[in-house]
This record gives sequence, C-alpha cells and structure tokens, in this order.
Amino acid sequence: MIRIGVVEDDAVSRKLVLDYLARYEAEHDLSFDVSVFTDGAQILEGYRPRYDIVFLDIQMERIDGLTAAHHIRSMDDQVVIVFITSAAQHAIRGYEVNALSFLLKPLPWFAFEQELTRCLTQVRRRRSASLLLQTGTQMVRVAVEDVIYIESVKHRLTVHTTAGDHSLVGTLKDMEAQLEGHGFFRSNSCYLVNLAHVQGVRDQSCVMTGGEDLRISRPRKRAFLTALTRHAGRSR
Amino acid sequence: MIDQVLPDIPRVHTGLAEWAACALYVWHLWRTRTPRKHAIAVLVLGLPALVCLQVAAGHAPHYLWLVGMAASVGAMALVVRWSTMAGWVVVGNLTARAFILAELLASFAWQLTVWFHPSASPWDPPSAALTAAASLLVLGPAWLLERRHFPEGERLHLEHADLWVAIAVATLTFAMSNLSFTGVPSPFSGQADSEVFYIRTLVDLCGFLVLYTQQERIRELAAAADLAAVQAQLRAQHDQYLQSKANIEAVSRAHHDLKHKIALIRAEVDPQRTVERFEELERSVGAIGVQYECGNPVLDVVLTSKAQSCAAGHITFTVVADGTLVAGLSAMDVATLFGNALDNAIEAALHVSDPDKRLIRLALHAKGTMTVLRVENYFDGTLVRDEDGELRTRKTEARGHGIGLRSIRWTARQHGGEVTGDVEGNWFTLTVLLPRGSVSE
Repeated sequence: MIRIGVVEDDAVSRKLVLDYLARYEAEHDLSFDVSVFTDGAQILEGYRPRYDIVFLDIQMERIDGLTAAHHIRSMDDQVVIVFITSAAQHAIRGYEVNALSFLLKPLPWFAFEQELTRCLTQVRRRRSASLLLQTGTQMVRVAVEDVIYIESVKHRLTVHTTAGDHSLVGTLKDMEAQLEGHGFFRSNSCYLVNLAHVQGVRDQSCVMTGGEDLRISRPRKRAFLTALTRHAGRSR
Repeated sequence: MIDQVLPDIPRVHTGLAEWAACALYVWHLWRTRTPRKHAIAVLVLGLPALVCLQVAAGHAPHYLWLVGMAASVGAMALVVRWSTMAGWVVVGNLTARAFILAELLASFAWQLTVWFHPSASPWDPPSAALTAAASLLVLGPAWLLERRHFPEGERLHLEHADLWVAIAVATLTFAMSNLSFTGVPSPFSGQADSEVFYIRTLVDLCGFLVLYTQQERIRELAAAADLAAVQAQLRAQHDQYLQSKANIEAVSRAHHDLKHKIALIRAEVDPQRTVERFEELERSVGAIGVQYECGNPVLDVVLTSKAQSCAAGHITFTVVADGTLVAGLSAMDVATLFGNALDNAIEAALHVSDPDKRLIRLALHAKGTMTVLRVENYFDGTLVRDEDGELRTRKTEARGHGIGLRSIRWTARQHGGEVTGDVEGNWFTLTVLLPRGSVSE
C-alpha cells in the first residue's frame, strides 16, 4: 500500500489531482491510501512520517508549500515531496527539501503520470532490499541503504553501517554479487562502497558518510567516477 | 667502452655539440618572447661550463660514465632554464630534444672526421674544419625544421604527458645508440669500429625524427583545438543573435496582443467577463517574463533564454537549481554545460509529436561536497549512436554533430568530473558530476 498526501487549497486543482490518482490506480492496477489537506498548516498538525509521497501546492494562504515542505523534511527524511505550482520560478529552490522536480499547472495527465511513476520507483527502491549477515552465532538484518561500505581484511569482512559495524567471514566477491544492482562499486581490492554514501571525491580517494576516506585504486578511478555520476543521475 | 683502434669523440666536441643544441632551442624560444641581457650571459657562460663538465667526465673512471652523462644533461637543463626562465615542462621537453640533437650532431661530425682523417689528431686544422663543417650540415636543417615548432607570439602547447614521452624517447635513443660502446656483446651492438659509429648516428637520427614528429602532432592538435574553440565561439555568438532577434519579435507580438486585449476590456460591460479578460491578460504577460533567480547570474540568463526556447516549442520545462554551486565555474563553462545540455534536450523534445509529452527537467543540487547536474527529457524512442557507441544529436546540419556532448564532457573533465548519458524507458538522462562542488579551483 502506497500512502499519499495531497495538500492543495484550490478545490478545482484538488479534485483534478484526486481524479488523476484514481485514474492511475485504475490504469496501473494499484491502490493508494490518499489523505487530503486543504492547507500546509493542516498536514503539519501532529505530523508523523507515514506518507510515501506528498503532493504540495506552493501558493497557499496560511502556510505556503515551501515552508510546509521544510517542516515536513525536518521530521521525515524519507518522504518524496512533489511540488505543484502555476509559476515555474517558484519551485526553483526545491533542492532545499530534496524535491528535484515538480509539476506545473495546468496539470496535464501525461506529466502527472510520468512523475508519479518515478516517485513510486523511488519508494519501492527505498523499501526493498536488506542484507542478512551471519555474524558469529547470530543473524543480523541490515537495510542495504544503511550500509556505507564493506571492507575486506584477510578472510573477514567488516560491514560498516550508519548504525555500527558488523564483522563476519566472507569474501567481497560474494558480497559484490549479492549487492549487484544496488549501487555498490568495488573501488579497491579491499573496499566495496555504497555510492549513495559517497559524499565527496578527492584526488585518489572518496569521502564517505561519517567522514571516512577510502582509497580508490588508480586504474578504477575513471570507472568509479562514471558509476558515481550514473548513480547520482538515477537517485531522486 | 671497448678498446678501440679508432678514438671516440673528444669530450670537448661533445660539450660543444651540447651547447650548440641548447643554443638552437633557446634561440628559437627567444623569438617567441623578449630576450633579456642576463639570459644571453647565461648562454655565454654555459659554453665553458658544458665543455668543462664533459672534459671532467672524460677523466672520471669508466663506471662513472652514466653519472657524467646525467650531470651534463642536468647542466643542459639548467642552461635552458636560466636562459629562458620557461616552466619546467617546457625546459624538460627542450632539454630532451636538445640532448638528442647534440648526440646526433657529435656522432655525425665525428663519423665523417674519422672517415676522412682516421689517424690525425682532432685538433689538426683539416680535421677541426671538417668537424665544424659536418656540424653545420646538421645544425642548419635542424634549425629550419625546429623553427616551425616555435610560432611567433604563441605559447608552446606542452603537457606533462608530452614531457614524459620526450624523456622516454630520448632515454631509449641514448641507450640504444650507446649499447655498442658498453663492450657487452648484444644483438644490438656492432662489432667493427666504423660500423659502431654509423649505428650511433642512425639511432640518434631516428630519435631526433621521433621527437620532431611528436612536435608536429602536438602542433596539429593544438591548431585543431583552437579552431574548434573559435567555431564554438562563433556559434554561440550566432545563437545569441538569433535569440535576441526572436526576443524582439516576441515582444513586438506581445505588444500587439496587449493593445488588442486592452481594447477588448475597455469594450466589455459584463464585470465577470472583465475579470476573466484580466486573468487572460495576466497569463499572457507572465509567459513573456519568466525570470529565473537561482543564485548565479550567468545561469539565470542561460535558463531564461532556454526557457523561452522551450515556451516557443511548447515544451514543459521545470528547473530546480542551486546556482551558488557553480559559482566557481567561468561564464564560458556554465554556458557550455547548461546551454549544450539543454540544447540537446530541446532538440530531442521537439521530435516528440504530442506537445503534452515534451517534458524537460533540470536539477542542479549538491550531494555531499559534490555538485550534480541532471537534465532529463522525454523522447520518442529513437536514439542515434555513432560508430563509437556515443550518443549523437539529430541536428540537420552536419557541423554540429556531437559537439555539444563532447564539449560538456571536456568541460566536466577539466574540473575533475564526469558525464553519463542514460536511457530508462522513454527518458534520457544526462548527468554531470563535479567532485569539487562549489569550491573553485
């Protein structure tokens, strides 16, 4: 079930978005749990991170869309925010709340459908994968998105995650195969890095979330940059 | 060195040859800039220095022979450096070329001298004259040949890679040409004395020609790059002109429309209809004046002009951009990256028959300390790739083919970044990653 919030003060536009959502459900054989709000203040009231996608009108009376988005983002870093606006220049600062595209009024069905499809892809990608690790005697489940990088030391692997490290027996080669398609890159004979957690690139190393500096082997530098660029283009 | 019946080149000759070769390159380099008095002094003092160094090396034990050669190459480099004050890349390159020319010069002159006067002292007037004449026979053509590699009023287009190639060629030439003199029998060594001299001259000649050809290639590449830059500039100018022309036409059309609409509102009696007419008026005015304010004035202009092209082509164009991220880029680079990326997207979007499907989205945002630019467009499903698998535009004029994407890649790599083009369904995504982000270099 995909949970969607619609925040729109204009009744006509609101009805249009709801009609489109219903049409999308019918055409793509999906079902949405849609909550409707008539103002930015209304969705913020007792906000909990429960939505997958929020459609936000920018020009609203009491609290405008951008302000509402900032509040939502401070409480929920996962939700996909899509602005709806009648003036193209109003949403240019969407990057502040990680809203990298928006919809223009009057809202044509095609643009709406394309946007929603991408949002759903993003939601599914985020929800999907986890890694089951055999650490000593117990099994640990780790979300793939929380893995920063995996390090190989002799015959052991250290999985560095945002919540801490896990040590286990295994090879990077097997891990690489297991994480295929999840945006990981073998930057070195002993590192498998999650491209989503690369925060910067220096001459011959990449800086990861948490500030660690990992060396990139010289022959893989160009391929690493290409993979990183492609990854940045895909994630929204 | 083997025990020879024939004497090897006197060290004084080698020193003189090295100086002459240095002087030739220094002189050529001077033509491109103003010579200074102290620079001439360096050259004058360099002559006895190089000769003395060679003579001293000649007295050193045999196992120090390589050290002696290295010292004289170092001295040549210093003469070139101090007499021209050029950068080390240029100095290194010129020294490598001068060294091989000196080897060729000394070897050739000595080969001739020994042939005609095998037993005479090198300081015998006929022998010395012959050596001098043979030297001029090499120096003259070398002078004329190298002259074209120092075009007046232009800097030398030498990169680090060129330096390494020159050093490698010089080292290899030197090693091969002197193999016979080490006394170690090898498939590449000559047995007889005169033959050994000839091998040395030939190998040195080859080395000189290789270095010469490398320079030719560098010059050709530089000329091609200059031409491309000039053409790009011209194209940009022309585009700007067309843009202004289109703008003027749009404004005059709007002027006409506005006059017409104001007349309609004046004539309107129904207040409800008046409000509607005003809204219509507002919309038509709004379409003309979409102005972007993203935090970078150059990017604002590029976005505004491309937005107008999009409006003209009924393309829905959405922008999310933090312009402050590209503050470190020059205006030219911003125009190249964004202008070319959007031109390609507009080109592709215009091929889509349904205006509702002509969608372009641009996002410029930070990821950690990096900057990501993403331009996406919906397309009709036809992609044109060239022989190398590179994506190509479908521009009708042959001249503009692929230049856009290539110049984006070139600009991105100048800043240590990378570019990718990806297709997912009917969406084409161009992504540029700049690792240094807003930090200007």
